[in-house]
Amino acid sequence: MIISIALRELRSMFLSPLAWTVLAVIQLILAWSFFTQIDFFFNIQSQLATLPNAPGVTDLVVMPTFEVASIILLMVTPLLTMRLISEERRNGSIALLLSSPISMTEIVLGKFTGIVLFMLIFITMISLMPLSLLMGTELDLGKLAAGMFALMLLLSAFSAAGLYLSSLTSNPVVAAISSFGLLLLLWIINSNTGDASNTLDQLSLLGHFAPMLRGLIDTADIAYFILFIATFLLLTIRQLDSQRLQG
Amino acid sequence: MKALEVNNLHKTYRNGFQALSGVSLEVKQGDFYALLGPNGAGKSTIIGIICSLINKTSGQVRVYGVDLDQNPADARMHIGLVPQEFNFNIFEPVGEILLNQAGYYGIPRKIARQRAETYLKKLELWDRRYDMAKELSGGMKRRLMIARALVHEPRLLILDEPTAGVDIEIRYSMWNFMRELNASGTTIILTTHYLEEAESLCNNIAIIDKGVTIEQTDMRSLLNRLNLETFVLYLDHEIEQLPDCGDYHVRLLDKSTMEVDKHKDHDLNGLYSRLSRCNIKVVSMRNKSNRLEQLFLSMLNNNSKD
Repeated sequence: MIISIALRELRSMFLSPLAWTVLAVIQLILAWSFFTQIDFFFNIQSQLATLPNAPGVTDLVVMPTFEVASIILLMVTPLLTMRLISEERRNGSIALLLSSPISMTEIVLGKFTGIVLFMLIFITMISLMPLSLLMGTELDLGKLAAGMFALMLLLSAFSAAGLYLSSLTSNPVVAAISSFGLLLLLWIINSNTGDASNTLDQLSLLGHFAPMLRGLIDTADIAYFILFIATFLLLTIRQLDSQRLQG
Repeated sequence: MKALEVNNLHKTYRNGFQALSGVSLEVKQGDFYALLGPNGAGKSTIIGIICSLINKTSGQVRVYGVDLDQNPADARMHIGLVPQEFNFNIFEPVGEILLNQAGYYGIPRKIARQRAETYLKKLELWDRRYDMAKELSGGMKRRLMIARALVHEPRLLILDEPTAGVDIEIRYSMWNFMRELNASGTTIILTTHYLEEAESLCNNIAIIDKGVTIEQTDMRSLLNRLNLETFVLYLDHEIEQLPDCGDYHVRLLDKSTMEVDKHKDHDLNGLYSRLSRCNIKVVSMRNKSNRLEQLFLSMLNNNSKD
Protein backbone atom coordinates (compact mmCIF):
# COMPACT_ATOMS: atom_id res chain seq x y z
CA MET A 1 0.00 0.00 0.00
CA ILE A 2 2.80 2.42 0.89
CA ILE A 3 4.43 1.73 -2.46
CA SER A 4 1.10 2.22 -4.28
CA ILE A 5 0.63 5.63 -2.68
CA ALA A 6 4.28 6.54 -3.23
CA LEU A 7 4.17 5.66 -6.92
CA ARG A 8 0.88 7.50 -7.35
CA GLU A 9 2.42 10.58 -5.72
CA LEU A 10 5.45 10.34 -7.95
CA ARG A 11 3.33 9.96 -11.08
CA SER A 12 0.98 12.76 -10.13
CA MET A 13 3.94 15.06 -9.53
CA PHE A 14 5.04 14.58 -13.10
CA LEU A 15 1.49 15.12 -14.36
CA SER A 16 1.53 18.75 -13.28
CA PRO A 17 3.86 21.23 -14.97
CA LEU A 18 5.26 22.30 -11.58
CA ALA A 19 7.61 19.33 -11.10
CA TRP A 20 9.00 19.58 -14.62
CA THR A 21 9.53 23.32 -14.26
CA VAL A 22 11.22 22.93 -10.88
CA LEU A 23 13.48 20.17 -12.18
CA ALA A 24 14.44 22.18 -15.25
CA VAL A 25 15.05 25.46 -13.43
CA ILE A 26 17.10 23.87 -10.64
CA GLN A 27 19.15 21.88 -13.10
CA LEU A 28 19.86 25.05 -15.06
CA ILE A 29 20.91 27.02 -11.97
CA LEU A 30 23.05 24.18 -10.65
CA ALA A 31 24.67 23.63 -14.03
CA TRP A 32 25.62 27.30 -14.10
CA SER A 33 26.94 27.07 -10.52
CA PHE A 34 28.85 23.89 -11.39
CA PHE A 35 30.57 25.50 -14.36
CA THR A 36 31.42 28.55 -12.24
CA GLN A 37 33.06 26.26 -9.67
CA ILE A 38 35.02 24.48 -12.39
CA ASP A 39 36.15 27.81 -13.78
CA PHE A 40 37.20 28.91 -10.29
CA PHE A 41 39.07 25.63 -9.82
CA PHE A 42 40.97 26.12 -13.11
CA ASN A 43 41.92 29.63 -12.06
CA ILE A 44 43.44 28.57 -8.75
CA GLN A 45 44.79 25.21 -9.90
CA SER A 46 48.36 26.50 -10.29
CA GLN A 47 48.34 27.93 -6.75
CA LEU A 48 46.91 24.72 -5.36
CA ALA A 49 49.75 22.73 -6.88
CA THR A 50 52.20 24.51 -4.55
CA LEU A 51 50.22 23.68 -1.38
CA PRO A 52 50.71 20.55 0.71
CA ASN A 53 47.42 18.65 1.27
CA ALA A 54 45.67 21.02 -1.07
CA PRO A 55 41.90 20.58 -1.45
CA GLY A 56 40.97 18.63 -4.54
CA VAL A 57 38.25 18.94 -7.15
CA THR A 58 35.76 17.20 -4.83
CA ASP A 59 36.20 19.88 -2.16
CA LEU A 60 36.31 22.82 -4.53
CA VAL A 61 33.75 21.85 -7.15
CA VAL A 62 31.51 19.05 -5.92
CA MET A 63 30.85 20.16 -2.33
CA PRO A 64 30.05 23.79 -3.24
CA THR A 65 27.64 22.50 -5.88
CA PHE A 66 25.88 20.39 -3.24
CA GLU A 67 25.84 23.40 -0.90
CA VAL A 68 24.17 25.54 -3.55
CA ALA A 69 21.74 22.68 -4.22
CA SER A 70 20.80 22.48 -0.54
CA ILE A 71 20.01 26.21 -0.38
CA ILE A 72 17.99 26.15 -3.60
CA LEU A 73 16.09 23.09 -2.44
CA LEU A 74 15.31 24.77 0.87
CA MET A 75 13.36 27.27 -1.19
CA VAL A 76 11.94 24.81 -3.70
CA THR A 77 10.94 21.82 -1.52
CA PRO A 78 7.97 23.70 0.00
CA LEU A 79 6.63 24.17 -3.54
CA LEU A 80 6.71 20.41 -4.03
CA THR A 81 5.36 19.42 -0.62
CA MET A 82 2.63 22.07 -0.43
CA ARG A 83 0.19 20.03 -2.48
CA LEU A 84 0.78 16.66 -0.80
CA ILE A 85 -2.15 16.83 1.61
CA SER A 86 -3.57 20.35 1.34
CA GLU A 87 -4.46 19.90 -2.33
CA GLU A 88 -5.98 16.49 -1.64
CA ARG A 89 -8.10 18.16 0.99
CA ARG A 90 -9.00 21.06 -1.25
CA ASN A 91 -10.16 18.88 -4.14
CA GLY A 92 -11.75 16.31 -1.82
CA SER A 93 -9.61 13.37 -2.94
CA ILE A 94 -8.41 12.88 0.65
CA ALA A 95 -11.79 11.14 1.11
CA LEU A 96 -10.63 8.35 -1.22
CA LEU A 97 -7.60 7.67 0.94
CA LEU A 98 -9.48 7.89 4.22
CA SER A 99 -12.28 5.59 3.03
CA SER A 100 -9.88 2.98 1.64
CA PRO A 101 -8.49 0.16 3.78
CA ILE A 102 -5.19 2.01 4.17
CA SER A 103 -4.14 3.14 7.64
CA MET A 104 -3.25 6.75 8.35
CA THR A 105 0.36 5.70 8.90
CA GLU A 106 0.48 4.06 5.48
CA ILE A 107 -1.02 7.17 3.87
CA VAL A 108 1.58 9.45 5.46
CA LEU A 109 4.49 7.08 4.82
CA GLY A 110 3.33 6.58 1.24
CA LYS A 111 3.22 10.29 0.56
CA PHE A 112 6.56 10.78 2.26
CA THR A 113 8.12 7.95 0.25
CA GLY A 114 6.72 9.46 -2.94
CA ILE A 115 8.32 12.83 -2.35
CA VAL A 116 11.57 11.21 -1.22
CA LEU A 117 11.65 9.22 -4.48
CA PHE A 118 11.25 12.50 -6.32
CA MET A 119 14.12 13.96 -4.30
CA LEU A 120 16.17 10.90 -5.18
CA ILE A 121 15.70 11.76 -8.86
CA PHE A 122 16.86 15.26 -8.01
CA ILE A 123 19.98 14.04 -6.25
CA THR A 124 20.76 11.62 -9.07
CA MET A 125 20.51 14.44 -11.60
CA ILE A 126 22.62 16.75 -9.47
CA SER A 127 25.21 14.04 -8.88
CA LEU A 128 25.54 13.32 -12.59
CA MET A 129 27.35 16.63 -13.00
CA PRO A 130 30.20 15.86 -10.55
CA LEU A 131 30.31 12.25 -11.77
CA SER A 132 30.95 13.52 -15.28
CA LEU A 133 34.27 14.86 -13.96
CA LEU A 134 35.42 11.25 -13.61
CA MET A 135 36.05 11.29 -17.34
CA GLY A 136 38.86 13.83 -16.85
CA THR A 137 39.99 13.60 -13.25
CA GLU A 138 39.80 11.65 -10.04
CA LEU A 139 37.15 12.29 -7.42
CA ASP A 140 37.06 11.44 -3.74
CA LEU A 141 34.17 9.01 -4.11
CA GLY A 142 33.82 8.62 -0.34
CA LYS A 143 33.25 12.34 0.07
CA LEU A 144 30.92 12.36 -2.92
CA ALA A 145 28.88 9.53 -1.39
CA ALA A 146 28.83 11.33 1.97
CA GLY A 147 27.61 14.49 0.23
CA MET A 148 24.86 12.61 -1.57
CA PHE A 149 23.86 10.89 1.67
CA ALA A 150 23.80 14.24 3.51
CA LEU A 151 21.71 15.80 0.77
CA MET A 152 19.33 12.85 0.87
CA LEU A 153 18.83 13.17 4.64
CA LEU A 154 18.42 16.93 4.36
CA LEU A 155 15.83 16.71 1.59
CA SER A 156 13.97 13.99 3.48
CA ALA A 157 13.87 16.29 6.49
CA PHE A 158 12.63 19.17 4.33
CA SER A 159 9.95 16.86 2.90
CA ALA A 160 8.77 15.60 6.29
CA ALA A 161 8.40 19.16 7.60
CA GLY A 162 6.66 20.24 4.37
CA LEU A 163 4.31 17.26 4.57
CA TYR A 164 3.30 18.19 8.11
CA LEU A 165 2.63 21.81 7.24
CA SER A 166 0.66 20.66 4.19
CA SER A 167 -1.59 18.68 6.56
CA LEU A 168 -2.43 21.81 8.55
CA THR A 169 -4.19 23.73 5.81
CA SER A 170 -6.27 23.27 2.68
CA ASN A 171 -4.48 26.17 1.02
CA PRO A 172 -1.29 24.99 -0.75
CA VAL A 173 0.18 28.50 -0.86
CA VAL A 174 -0.14 28.88 2.91
CA ALA A 175 1.46 25.43 3.28
CA ALA A 176 4.37 26.46 1.02
CA ILE A 177 5.04 29.77 2.75
CA SER A 178 4.84 28.29 6.25
CA SER A 179 7.12 25.37 5.23
CA PHE A 180 9.65 27.78 3.80
CA GLY A 181 9.50 29.91 6.96
CA LEU A 182 10.02 26.91 9.24
CA LEU A 183 12.88 25.46 7.19
CA LEU A 184 14.62 28.82 6.89
CA LEU A 185 14.31 29.33 10.64
CA LEU A 186 15.78 25.90 11.34
CA TRP A 187 18.54 26.60 8.79
CA ILE A 188 19.70 29.90 10.29
CA ILE A 189 18.71 29.31 13.90
CA ASN A 190 22.33 29.04 15.05
CA SER A 191 23.71 31.83 12.89
CA ASN A 192 24.77 33.99 15.85
CA THR A 193 25.88 31.34 18.32
CA GLY A 194 29.18 29.94 17.06
CA ASP A 195 29.17 27.46 19.94
CA ALA A 196 28.65 23.87 18.81
CA SER A 197 27.27 22.80 22.20
CA ASN A 198 24.62 25.49 22.14
CA THR A 199 21.01 24.20 22.06
CA LEU A 200 20.18 26.29 19.02
CA ASP A 201 23.16 24.77 17.22
CA GLN A 202 21.84 21.32 18.06
CA LEU A 203 18.51 22.25 16.49
CA SER A 204 20.02 23.69 13.36
CA LEU A 205 19.63 21.81 10.10
CA LEU A 206 22.78 23.41 8.74
CA GLY A 207 24.72 22.49 11.86
CA HIS A 208 24.11 18.80 11.18
CA PHE A 209 24.25 18.95 7.40
CA ALA A 210 27.54 20.83 6.95
CA PRO A 211 29.84 18.28 8.66
CA MET A 212 28.34 15.42 6.62
CA LEU A 213 28.80 17.38 3.44
CA ARG A 214 32.49 17.65 4.30
CA GLY A 215 32.61 13.87 4.57
CA LEU A 216 32.30 13.64 8.35
CA ILE A 217 29.54 11.12 8.99
CA ASP A 218 28.58 11.33 12.65
CA THR A 219 25.87 9.10 14.11
CA ALA A 220 24.61 12.10 16.12
CA ASP A 221 23.92 13.95 12.88
CA ILE A 222 22.20 10.92 11.36
CA ALA A 223 20.14 10.47 14.53
CA TYR A 224 19.17 14.16 14.37
CA PHE A 225 17.81 13.80 10.86
CA ILE A 226 16.03 10.53 11.63
CA LEU A 227 14.41 12.06 14.71
CA PHE A 228 13.52 15.19 12.77
CA ILE A 229 11.83 13.15 10.04
CA ALA A 230 10.08 10.79 12.49
CA THR A 231 8.78 13.70 14.57
CA PHE A 232 7.18 15.45 11.61
CA LEU A 233 5.75 12.23 10.21
CA LEU A 234 4.18 11.41 13.58
CA LEU A 235 2.81 14.93 13.84
CA THR A 236 1.28 14.54 10.37
CA ILE A 237 -0.38 11.24 11.32
CA ARG A 238 -1.76 12.82 14.50
CA GLN A 239 -2.97 15.86 12.60
CA LEU A 240 -4.86 13.79 10.03
CA ASP A 241 -6.33 11.61 12.77
CA SER A 242 -7.52 14.62 14.70
CA GLN A 243 -9.15 16.04 11.57
CA ARG A 244 -11.06 12.81 11.09
CA LEU A 245 -12.16 13.03 14.73
CA GLN A 246 -13.46 16.54 14.15
CA GLY A 247 -15.24 15.29 11.05
CA MET B 1 -26.70 -11.26 6.18
CA LYS B 2 -27.28 -7.52 6.35
CA ALA B 3 -25.19 -5.38 4.04
CA LEU B 4 -25.27 -2.53 6.52
CA GLU B 5 -26.39 -2.22 10.11
CA VAL B 6 -26.32 1.15 11.77
CA ASN B 7 -27.38 1.15 15.41
CA ASN B 8 -28.16 4.18 17.51
CA LEU B 9 -25.65 6.41 15.76
CA HIS B 10 -24.87 9.72 17.42
CA LYS B 11 -22.62 12.47 16.21
CA THR B 12 -21.98 15.71 18.00
CA TYR B 13 -19.44 18.02 16.40
CA ARG B 14 -16.85 19.88 18.40
CA ASN B 15 -18.87 23.10 18.18
CA GLY B 16 -21.73 21.33 19.96
CA PHE B 17 -23.88 20.80 16.88
CA GLN B 18 -25.69 17.48 17.14
CA ALA B 19 -25.85 16.13 13.60
CA LEU B 20 -27.17 12.67 14.49
CA SER B 21 -29.30 11.75 17.48
CA GLY B 22 -29.65 7.98 17.39
CA VAL B 23 -30.00 6.97 13.76
CA SER B 24 -30.57 3.28 13.08
CA LEU B 25 -30.67 1.73 9.63
CA GLU B 26 -30.73 -1.76 8.19
CA VAL B 27 -29.88 -2.41 4.58
CA LYS B 28 -30.39 -5.92 3.26
CA GLN B 29 -27.88 -7.62 1.00
CA GLY B 30 -28.68 -6.89 -2.63
CA ASP B 31 -30.98 -4.01 -1.72
CA PHE B 32 -31.35 -0.75 -3.63
CA TYR B 33 -31.83 1.60 -0.72
CA ALA B 34 -32.76 5.27 -0.74
CA LEU B 35 -31.47 7.52 2.00
CA LEU B 36 -33.47 10.70 1.76
CA GLY B 37 -33.74 13.88 3.75
CA PRO B 38 -33.64 17.62 3.36
CA ASN B 39 -30.36 19.53 3.31
CA GLY B 40 -28.70 19.39 6.73
CA ALA B 41 -30.70 16.34 7.82
CA GLY B 42 -27.57 14.32 8.55
CA LYS B 43 -27.30 12.14 5.42
CA SER B 44 -23.74 13.21 4.64
CA THR B 45 -22.71 12.66 8.25
CA ILE B 46 -24.10 9.12 8.14
CA ILE B 47 -22.27 8.42 4.88
CA GLY B 48 -19.12 10.04 6.29
CA ILE B 49 -19.23 7.77 9.34
CA ILE B 50 -19.91 4.63 7.29
CA CYS B 51 -16.96 5.49 5.01
CA SER B 52 -14.64 6.38 7.92
CA LEU B 53 -14.38 10.02 6.89
CA ILE B 54 -15.94 11.15 10.15
CA ASN B 55 -15.64 9.59 13.58
CA LYS B 56 -18.90 8.91 15.33
CA THR B 57 -19.65 10.01 18.88
CA SER B 58 -21.38 6.74 19.71
CA GLY B 59 -23.27 3.90 18.09
CA GLN B 60 -22.33 0.92 15.99
CA VAL B 61 -21.78 0.39 12.27
CA ARG B 62 -21.43 -3.06 10.74
CA VAL B 63 -20.73 -3.61 7.05
CA TYR B 64 -21.47 -7.16 5.90
CA GLY B 65 -21.13 -8.23 9.53
CA VAL B 66 -17.77 -6.52 10.01
CA ASP B 67 -17.68 -4.01 12.84
CA LEU B 68 -16.24 -0.71 11.68
CA ASP B 69 -14.54 -0.12 15.03
CA GLN B 70 -13.03 -3.55 15.40
CA ASN B 71 -11.93 -4.13 11.84
CA PRO B 72 -12.04 -0.87 9.90
CA ALA B 73 -9.84 -2.02 7.02
CA ASP B 74 -12.01 -5.08 6.31
CA ALA B 75 -15.20 -3.02 6.56
CA ARG B 76 -13.84 -0.42 4.13
CA MET B 77 -12.91 -3.13 1.64
CA HIS B 78 -16.65 -3.77 1.17
CA ILE B 79 -17.54 -0.15 0.50
CA GLY B 80 -17.37 1.92 -2.66
CA LEU B 81 -18.16 5.61 -2.37
CA VAL B 82 -19.28 7.97 -5.12
CA PRO B 83 -19.21 11.38 -3.48
CA GLN B 84 -21.30 14.31 -4.55
CA GLU B 85 -18.37 16.54 -5.54
CA PHE B 86 -15.86 15.67 -8.24
CA ASN B 87 -12.74 14.72 -6.35
CA PHE B 88 -9.94 13.62 -8.60
CA ASN B 89 -6.70 15.12 -9.82
CA ILE B 90 -7.82 16.89 -12.97
CA PHE B 91 -4.39 16.42 -14.56
CA GLU B 92 -4.55 12.63 -14.15
CA PRO B 93 -5.57 10.51 -17.15
CA VAL B 94 -8.88 8.69 -16.77
CA GLY B 95 -7.30 5.22 -16.83
CA GLU B 96 -4.69 6.18 -14.24
CA ILE B 97 -7.38 7.40 -11.84
CA LEU B 98 -8.88 3.92 -11.78
CA LEU B 99 -5.52 2.16 -11.52
CA ASN B 100 -4.48 4.35 -8.59
CA GLN B 101 -7.73 3.71 -6.82
CA ALA B 102 -7.25 -0.04 -7.29
CA GLY B 103 -3.77 0.34 -5.79
CA TYR B 104 -5.28 1.68 -2.57
CA TYR B 105 -7.16 -1.60 -2.24
CA GLY B 106 -4.13 -3.76 -2.88
CA ILE B 107 -5.35 -4.96 -6.28
CA PRO B 108 -2.47 -6.12 -8.50
CA ARG B 109 -1.81 -3.88 -11.49
CA LYS B 110 -2.71 -6.56 -14.06
CA ILE B 111 -6.14 -7.22 -12.54
CA ALA B 112 -6.68 -3.51 -12.03
CA ARG B 113 -6.10 -2.91 -15.76
CA GLN B 114 -8.68 -5.57 -16.66
CA ARG B 115 -11.23 -4.09 -14.27
CA ALA B 116 -10.53 -0.55 -15.43
CA GLU B 117 -11.20 -1.68 -18.99
CA THR B 118 -14.43 -3.44 -17.97
CA TYR B 119 -15.89 -0.49 -16.07
CA LEU B 120 -14.68 2.19 -18.44
CA LYS B 121 -16.29 0.29 -21.29
CA LYS B 122 -19.54 -0.21 -19.35
CA LEU B 123 -19.66 3.48 -18.56
CA GLU B 124 -18.69 4.50 -22.10
CA LEU B 125 -15.41 6.10 -21.11
CA TRP B 126 -12.99 3.63 -22.65
CA ASP B 127 -12.28 5.86 -25.63
CA ARG B 128 -11.31 8.65 -23.25
CA ARG B 129 -8.95 6.57 -21.08
CA TYR B 130 -5.83 8.54 -22.02
CA ASP B 131 -7.49 11.94 -21.66
CA MET B 132 -6.95 14.07 -18.61
CA ALA B 133 -9.96 14.21 -16.29
CA LYS B 134 -10.28 17.96 -16.83
CA GLU B 135 -11.09 17.33 -20.50
CA LEU B 136 -14.24 15.35 -19.66
CA SER B 137 -17.75 16.77 -19.66
CA GLY B 138 -19.80 16.93 -16.44
CA GLY B 139 -21.66 13.72 -17.24
CA MET B 140 -18.45 11.89 -18.08
CA LYS B 141 -16.89 13.02 -14.82
CA ARG B 142 -19.90 11.61 -12.94
CA ARG B 143 -19.49 8.29 -14.75
CA LEU B 144 -15.77 8.33 -14.01
CA MET B 145 -16.55 8.68 -10.30
CA ILE B 146 -18.78 5.60 -10.50
CA ALA B 147 -16.19 3.60 -12.45
CA ARG B 148 -13.55 4.55 -9.89
CA ALA B 149 -15.76 3.46 -6.99
CA LEU B 150 -16.34 0.09 -8.68
CA VAL B 151 -12.77 -0.79 -9.52
CA HIS B 152 -12.26 -2.71 -6.26
CA GLU B 153 -15.65 -4.38 -6.80
CA PRO B 154 -17.30 -3.35 -3.55
CA ARG B 155 -20.32 -5.25 -2.24
CA LEU B 156 -21.86 -2.03 -0.97
CA LEU B 157 -21.90 1.01 -3.21
CA ILE B 158 -22.85 4.38 -1.75
CA LEU B 159 -23.98 6.92 -4.31
CA ASP B 160 -24.27 10.46 -3.02
CA GLU B 161 -26.38 12.33 -5.57
CA PRO B 162 -24.81 10.54 -8.54
CA THR B 163 -26.95 12.22 -11.17
CA ALA B 164 -26.77 15.81 -9.91
CA GLY B 165 -26.25 18.16 -12.84
CA VAL B 166 -26.45 15.38 -15.42
CA ASP B 167 -28.62 15.73 -18.54
CA ILE B 168 -31.68 13.54 -18.90
CA GLU B 169 -30.20 11.14 -21.46
CA ILE B 170 -27.14 10.37 -19.35
CA ARG B 171 -29.30 10.18 -16.25
CA TYR B 172 -31.42 7.42 -17.80
CA SER B 173 -28.35 5.53 -18.98
CA MET B 174 -26.90 5.82 -15.46
CA TRP B 175 -30.16 4.53 -14.00
CA ASN B 176 -29.96 1.51 -16.28
CA PHE B 177 -26.36 0.92 -15.28
CA MET B 178 -27.26 1.15 -11.58
CA ARG B 179 -30.12 -1.28 -12.06
CA GLU B 180 -27.80 -3.75 -13.81
CA LEU B 181 -25.24 -3.36 -11.06
CA ASN B 182 -27.86 -3.99 -8.40
CA ALA B 183 -29.20 -6.97 -10.32
CA SER B 184 -25.68 -8.43 -10.37
CA GLY B 185 -25.69 -8.44 -6.56
CA THR B 186 -24.20 -5.11 -5.52
CA THR B 187 -26.07 -3.47 -2.67
CA ILE B 188 -26.63 0.20 -3.42
CA ILE B 189 -27.41 3.08 -1.10
CA LEU B 190 -28.57 6.15 -2.95
CA THR B 191 -29.01 9.67 -1.69
CA THR B 192 -30.70 12.03 -4.08
CA HIS B 193 -32.82 15.12 -4.24
CA TYR B 194 -34.59 13.76 -7.34
CA LEU B 195 -37.34 11.81 -5.64
CA GLU B 196 -38.57 10.28 -8.87
CA GLU B 197 -35.10 8.75 -9.11
CA ALA B 198 -35.47 7.16 -5.69
CA GLU B 199 -39.00 6.02 -6.50
CA SER B 200 -37.94 4.53 -9.79
CA LEU B 201 -34.80 2.75 -8.57
CA CYS B 202 -35.10 1.87 -4.91
CA ASN B 203 -36.86 -0.97 -3.11
CA ASN B 204 -36.43 0.34 0.42
CA ILE B 205 -36.19 3.77 1.86
CA ALA B 206 -35.15 5.70 4.96
CA ILE B 207 -36.04 9.32 5.53
CA ILE B 208 -33.77 11.28 7.84
CA ASP B 209 -34.63 14.64 9.31
CA LYS B 210 -32.87 16.63 12.03
CA GLY B 211 -30.53 13.74 12.76
CA VAL B 212 -33.18 11.09 13.35
CA THR B 213 -34.78 8.42 11.18
CA ILE B 214 -38.39 9.47 10.67
CA GLU B 215 -39.24 6.60 8.35
CA GLN B 216 -37.69 3.30 7.29
CA THR B 217 -39.77 0.99 5.19
CA ASP B 218 -40.13 -0.53 1.74
CA MET B 219 -41.02 1.76 -1.12
CA ARG B 220 -44.30 0.04 -2.01
CA SER B 221 -45.84 0.27 1.47
CA LEU B 222 -44.67 3.85 1.76
CA LEU B 223 -46.33 4.81 -1.49
CA ASN B 224 -49.49 2.94 -0.43
CA ARG B 225 -49.83 5.40 2.40
CA LEU B 226 -50.64 8.11 -0.06
CA ASN B 227 -54.41 8.60 0.42
CA LEU B 228 -54.98 11.00 -2.38
CA GLU B 229 -53.33 11.20 -5.79
CA THR B 230 -53.93 13.89 -8.35
CA PHE B 231 -53.85 13.05 -12.06
CA VAL B 232 -53.85 15.34 -15.04
CA LEU B 233 -55.90 14.00 -17.98
CA TYR B 234 -55.45 15.22 -21.53
CA LEU B 235 -58.64 15.00 -23.59
CA ASP B 236 -59.01 14.37 -27.30
CA HIS B 237 -61.21 17.41 -27.86
CA GLU B 238 -62.18 20.60 -26.13
CA ILE B 239 -65.12 20.64 -23.74
CA GLU B 240 -66.99 23.64 -22.36
CA GLN B 241 -68.38 22.09 -19.17
CA LEU B 242 -67.33 19.43 -16.75
CA PRO B 243 -69.28 16.20 -17.17
CA ASP B 244 -70.89 14.51 -14.19
CA CYS B 245 -68.12 12.45 -12.62
CA GLY B 246 -69.92 11.22 -9.51
CA ASP B 247 -67.63 10.69 -6.51
CA TYR B 248 -64.56 11.81 -8.43
CA HIS B 249 -63.44 15.32 -7.69
CA VAL B 250 -62.52 16.84 -11.05
CA ARG B 251 -61.49 20.31 -12.20
CA LEU B 252 -61.07 21.72 -15.68
CA LEU B 253 -57.63 23.26 -16.11
CA ASP B 254 -58.36 24.38 -19.66
CA LYS B 255 -60.78 23.22 -22.30
CA SER B 256 -58.88 20.03 -23.06
CA THR B 257 -57.15 19.32 -19.74
CA MET B 258 -58.76 17.94 -16.61
CA GLU B 259 -57.41 17.34 -13.12
CA VAL B 260 -58.80 14.56 -10.96
CA ASP B 261 -58.22 13.70 -7.30
CA LYS B 262 -58.27 9.95 -6.73
CA HIS B 263 -58.60 8.44 -3.28
CA LYS B 264 -56.48 5.32 -2.78
CA ASP B 265 -59.65 3.16 -2.36
CA HIS B 266 -60.95 4.17 -5.77
CA ASP B 267 -59.71 3.25 -9.23
CA LEU B 268 -59.74 5.24 -12.43
CA ASN B 269 -61.91 2.80 -14.42
CA GLY B 270 -65.11 4.34 -13.07
CA LEU B 271 -64.01 7.76 -14.15
CA TYR B 272 -63.10 6.52 -17.62
CA SER B 273 -66.54 4.90 -17.97
CA ARG B 274 -68.28 8.13 -17.03
CA LEU B 275 -66.14 10.12 -19.45
CA SER B 276 -66.78 7.61 -22.25
CA ARG B 277 -70.50 7.91 -21.69
CA CYS B 278 -70.15 11.64 -22.27
CA ASN B 279 -68.14 10.88 -25.42
CA ILE B 280 -64.94 12.27 -23.89
CA LYS B 281 -61.77 10.35 -24.66
CA VAL B 282 -58.60 10.58 -22.58
CA VAL B 283 -55.55 10.55 -24.84
CA SER B 284 -52.93 10.63 -22.10
CA MET B 285 -52.46 11.21 -18.41
CA ARG B 286 -49.79 11.88 -15.79
CA ASN B 287 -49.38 12.23 -12.05
CA LYS B 288 -49.65 15.90 -11.16
CA SER B 289 -46.67 15.57 -8.80
CA ASN B 290 -44.32 12.80 -7.82
CA ARG B 291 -45.95 10.49 -5.29
CA LEU B 292 -42.86 10.11 -3.17
CA GLU B 293 -42.41 13.86 -3.21
CA GLN B 294 -45.89 14.35 -1.71
CA LEU B 295 -45.23 11.81 1.03
CA PHE B 296 -41.75 13.16 1.69
CA LEU B 297 -43.02 16.70 2.17
CA SER B 298 -45.90 15.64 4.38
CA MET B 299 -43.55 13.57 6.57
CA LEU B 300 -41.14 16.46 6.93
CA ASN B 301 -44.03 18.77 7.81
CA ASN B 302 -45.27 16.34 10.45
CA ASN B 303 -41.75 16.02 11.87
CA SER B 304 -41.43 19.83 12.09
CA LYS B 305 -44.74 20.04 13.99
CA ASP B 306 -43.56 17.32 16.41
